[in-house]
Amino acid sequence: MAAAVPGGIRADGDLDLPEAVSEDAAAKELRHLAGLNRPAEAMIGLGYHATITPPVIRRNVLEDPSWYTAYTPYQPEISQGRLEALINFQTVIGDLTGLPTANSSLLDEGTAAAEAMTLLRRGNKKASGPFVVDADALPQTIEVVRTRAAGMGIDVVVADLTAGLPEGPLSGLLVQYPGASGRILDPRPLIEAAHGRDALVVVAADLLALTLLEAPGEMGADVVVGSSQRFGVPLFYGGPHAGFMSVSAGLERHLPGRPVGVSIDAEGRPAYRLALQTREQHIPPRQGDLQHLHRPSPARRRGFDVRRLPRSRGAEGDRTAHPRLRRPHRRGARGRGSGTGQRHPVRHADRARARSCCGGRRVGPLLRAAPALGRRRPRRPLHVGDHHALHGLQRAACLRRQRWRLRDRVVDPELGGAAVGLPHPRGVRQPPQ
Amino acid sequence: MIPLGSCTMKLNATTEMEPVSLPGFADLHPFAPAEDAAGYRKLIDDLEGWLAEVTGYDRVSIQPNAGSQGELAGLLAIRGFHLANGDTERTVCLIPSSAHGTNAASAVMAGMKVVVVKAADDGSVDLDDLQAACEKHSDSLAAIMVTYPSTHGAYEDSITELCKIVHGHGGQVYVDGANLNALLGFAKPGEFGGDVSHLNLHKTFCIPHGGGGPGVGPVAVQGTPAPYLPSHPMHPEPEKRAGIGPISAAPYGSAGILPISWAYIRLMGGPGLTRATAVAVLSANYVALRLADHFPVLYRGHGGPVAHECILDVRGLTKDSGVSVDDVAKRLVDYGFHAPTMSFPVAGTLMVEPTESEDLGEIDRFCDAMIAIKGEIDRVQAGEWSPENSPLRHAPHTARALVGEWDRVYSREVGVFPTGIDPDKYWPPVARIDRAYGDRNLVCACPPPEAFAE
Repeated sequence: MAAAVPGGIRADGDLDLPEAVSEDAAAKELRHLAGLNRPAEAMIGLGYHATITPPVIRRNVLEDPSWYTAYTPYQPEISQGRLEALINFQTVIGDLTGLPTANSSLLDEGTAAAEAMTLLRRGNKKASGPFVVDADALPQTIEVVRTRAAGMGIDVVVADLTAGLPEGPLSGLLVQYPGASGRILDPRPLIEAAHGRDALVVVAADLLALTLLEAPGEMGADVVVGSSQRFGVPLFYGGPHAGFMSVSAGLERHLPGRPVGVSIDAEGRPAYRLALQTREQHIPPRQGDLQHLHRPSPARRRGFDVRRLPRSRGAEGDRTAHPRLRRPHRRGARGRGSGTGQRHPVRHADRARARSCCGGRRVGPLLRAAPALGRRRPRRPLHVGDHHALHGLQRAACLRRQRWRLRDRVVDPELGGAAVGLPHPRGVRQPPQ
Repeated sequence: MIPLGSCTMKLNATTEMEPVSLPGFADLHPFAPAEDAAGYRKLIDDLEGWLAEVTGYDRVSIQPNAGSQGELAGLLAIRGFHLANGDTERTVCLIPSSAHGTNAASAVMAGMKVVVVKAADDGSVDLDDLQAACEKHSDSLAAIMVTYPSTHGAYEDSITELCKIVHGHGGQVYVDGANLNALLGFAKPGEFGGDVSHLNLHKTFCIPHGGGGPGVGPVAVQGTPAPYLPSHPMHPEPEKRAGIGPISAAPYGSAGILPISWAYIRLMGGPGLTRATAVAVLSANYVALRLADHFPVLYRGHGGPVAHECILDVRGLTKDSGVSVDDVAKRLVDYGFHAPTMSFPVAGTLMVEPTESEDLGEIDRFCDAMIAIKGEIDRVQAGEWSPENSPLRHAPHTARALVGEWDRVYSREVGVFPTGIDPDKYWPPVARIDRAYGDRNLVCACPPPEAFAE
């Protein structure tokens, strides 16, 4: 090293780090740290949902080195399995969002939305003016978009879209569907109005809701973004998750990163590789491993399950993806804690049993205080994941004790009525015979 | 062995990987109350502190969830610093011609204007050109983005001088941490002149590449730009809620995979990290030495040694024989190897980074394969095979090709078992892929089952 490293930059002294420990000791310390975290029952939502990672997928994908150690598939001949898994992901995203081309290169919903904003600028030179963002978008999405826009000198206007588009020109529009509040706004009039002003429209969508709601692409959206976390990727305290983006015809060559595409090999058979090779070799990353955690076939069933849980306690016949929980006039059950999530103490029918279930800790779902949207009383949107279906009765007991009540909201039946299944029902191709 | 230059493909030890699945790490919501995340807080504080120590910087933020996001965060910090000083005109970002492609893209995203600085003949940044650029843009200079050791895989003597010149004109020095695996324990970017860096935990600190992600790209800053690190409106640490805004959707980015890097540093300690760097540099120099007689090694540092990777120049051979760098890369598959990085940072070359994780036997196996391929190129050059009919152009060879009709000018054994019958042979599922065909006929969804009918 003395011969290789120039003397002028050599650091003085040794690194000041804790002394190395054995594998066994490090594993023990990490188990201890993990034990200091209290996952509780996360019903905060905001784009992050409790979910089940099926053990077969956890063991054979998430924890399997042949999936996780590999490099970006720049050498496609030796990466066909990876590429096939990614193109399956793209296909499912395309089907659910109702747009023809999806990629698999995005990090999370916030950065996907920011990328979509810049894509609209590349793909639509006609429009000018600010980028308009739904006030009911996920708060972190709004902020990530703002950070990115500030760097690039783009004006961002956050607007309540319930009354339609704000006046004046706009370079693009982002609509959250369903909104962070749980509200499902029919995006069609907004999309039409934006198109009427030469602007393109991004819809940030909940992928699970799209198993029941009409696909944004079919309602005219130009770009759909979001996170596929709730399709089996653990919460991970925020990441890593797999974002997604799909685009309408004509925008595919503006997609960030390189989508997986189909080509042919020297023997004329179909083969997968990263498309659009003229780009930089060093591309925005793809969340390679995480896309494989998703299986398309149970998706729609999950959509129904998640809807059924709150609905069973809601008004008959109502249709909603995110029911909202409204707390009536009850005193003494204040939330406590810092940050956005708040722990709500719950009087459990059987406290002893509850403690044994939860490691002796206080129980209670983590809920979120949301500002009132055009109403006086603050709301606590309740976000339900497939994970909760398992514990449904236990949760229901907690909630009833609190005398909380679910208020469903009637949604335009047309949105749900047109819900589509997956046109690629198997989600994977049959292996060649 | 996956000898990818600039990518640092190192061992992902099971002990590092296992904790990711622990419910305490996996099942926590990013906006859970801070007191429910005490374990993460300790882990993140440890990790940010350790990363600051090994890089010589004051503060680290692990929020950016990819290297490209780290770059953007670093440049926004520099921009924030200049704006706070009233230097609204400081928007020029100097980028050497050998830089990673993401550098220029990030600079544009941060609202900067890119000015390219030339490379000298030896591959280092041309200091005369740099001096001229700094003088020309003295009032508008925001920063320079350099990779150290350079993307050419060489320790450049001129880095301290470079930092001095840029600082002299009011610019900040951004050191891209892509090649930190050649520095740990021996040099600290924050000490030899860097103001801001991003690191790649998925390179230097063992987070696996996972087919291209997920990664973590922490941003590290020295002194003045510290208040301009990424913030988040719902950050568990209240003092980090206001600021330049979030780079990633979650306050701690890809928090769930941080236990991997924590475990790596905990298992290695200071002496272990230092030794790993030395072994990585030794391995690269061993490869450069063994292959130098067969493929020219393009750039070397002062006195001859390369850093932690080396560039093998295939361009001369391509010119003389018609065998392309693509042919060499695909032929390596027949020998059981993943190709090195191709045509970066120089078109028509291969960049090899063995890392400290490969043992001598595996490195020798790779060198033997490269030498054998050079032997095949020699046969093409001697006129024995035309480039089109050679095993190099037909690579990789599938099992289907082996059992089908064989009309090649070389034997089946030469095609599929170039080093002799090997029970562990890797069989590629498809032959050489026509990349251009797919771009002309862009299809990015599953084809119908009929497409696969025989």
